Amino acid sequence: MDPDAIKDMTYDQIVNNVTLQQRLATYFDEQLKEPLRTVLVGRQMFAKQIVIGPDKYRVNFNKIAEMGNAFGSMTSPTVGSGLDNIRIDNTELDLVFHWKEYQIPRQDWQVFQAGGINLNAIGAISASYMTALYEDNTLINGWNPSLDAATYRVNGLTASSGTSFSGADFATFGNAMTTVANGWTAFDAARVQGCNMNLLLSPFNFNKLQKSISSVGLRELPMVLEMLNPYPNMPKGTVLKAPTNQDATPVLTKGTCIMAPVDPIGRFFDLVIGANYINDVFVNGPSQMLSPMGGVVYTTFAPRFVFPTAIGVATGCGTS
Amino acid sequence: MSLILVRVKRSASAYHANGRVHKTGEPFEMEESQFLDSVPGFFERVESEQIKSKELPVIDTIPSAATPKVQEPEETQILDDEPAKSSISDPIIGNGGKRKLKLKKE
Repeated sequence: MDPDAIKDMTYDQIVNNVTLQQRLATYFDEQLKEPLRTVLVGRQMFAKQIVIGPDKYRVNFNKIAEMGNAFGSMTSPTVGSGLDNIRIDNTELDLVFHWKEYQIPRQDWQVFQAGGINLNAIGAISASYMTALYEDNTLINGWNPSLDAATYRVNGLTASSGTSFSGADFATFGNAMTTVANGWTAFDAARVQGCNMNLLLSPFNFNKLQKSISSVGLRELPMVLEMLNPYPNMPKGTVLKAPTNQDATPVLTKGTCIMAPVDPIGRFFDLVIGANYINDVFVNGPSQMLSPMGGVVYTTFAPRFVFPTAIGVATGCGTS
Repeated sequence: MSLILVRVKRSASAYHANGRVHKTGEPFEMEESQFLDSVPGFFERVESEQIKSKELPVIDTIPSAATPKVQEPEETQILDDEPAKSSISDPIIGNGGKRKLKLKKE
């Protein structure tokens, strides 16, 4: 049964037509939407997202070497003399699973079932929030199961960045603009042009930029936004704040920023999403009457970096 | 503030600073503090000897016929005729505590 159809049904129709798990999943899906919006910062860096569905586990990935220079002449071209083609290196990528399980006491479920009292969804909300935070870590840095900050099974923005440039301490007015200007200089040299840029900052540097004001009262943040968006007809970039982990460490290291294009066509990188925050619920035990309700929130995805040079990382943005 | 010699380690990457572009493998100077704050794995420290060693001929490590053989140490000789006992009785010594080993005298 379509989960959306349940919303339009009466209580009796629901009880007679849908399973207990379906009711719970539908209820929780509504509860999960808002909390998920507060994270998923990593996804905001990927302007192109392709959802392929939860039953797909592997995607193809083409790395493209562009053609040589084009030609110009005042006379008609001698067609056929300079045929060229793009070189495609084809590889396959596995989608990575991220998930978190949770449990609801049976009594809570039965009260919800009998009287329609709001079920405390904090378990599911927390599970989805932690899954999203884990996803942010993977997309921004990379999936590093060995925790050595060197061996990444899935490369994120930082782990795959092919451009590095100098940052300046955001504590001084004008230095954030200097950093963005350095980024543009690097991208111009690498021919990453035609797209506006996103700037992802650690919370520390983001807050510094927000309060950066000149001696004559000019705020720096609007100027930085203007610098990130020189192409008026392309999708706009913005300044984003990286989330913070449970242990209070920022997902993006203090003093570091990532500048990357808002790339709606996936010329430089994109994100393939398989299962998009699916919430599966079940009776977690042998008893249909007494066992608690269990749930799992999971997502699968694979970031694909066609042209890693387009991801610029700057350090030295200030740590104190 | 101390300058150290580094290079970009990550393949097909570049570091842009002061109007210059340093591509993968090209050594250049950077402040040590900046190196320590950088993204792990992007740069690597280079010792001056490492740069020089690029110019040295590669040493042939395949052993040739002229390679001298490694002299093996002399074997020990058991002087006592008493047969060896099970090492279970004394797992540390491993010979039952009765067997004597002596080095062969020159």
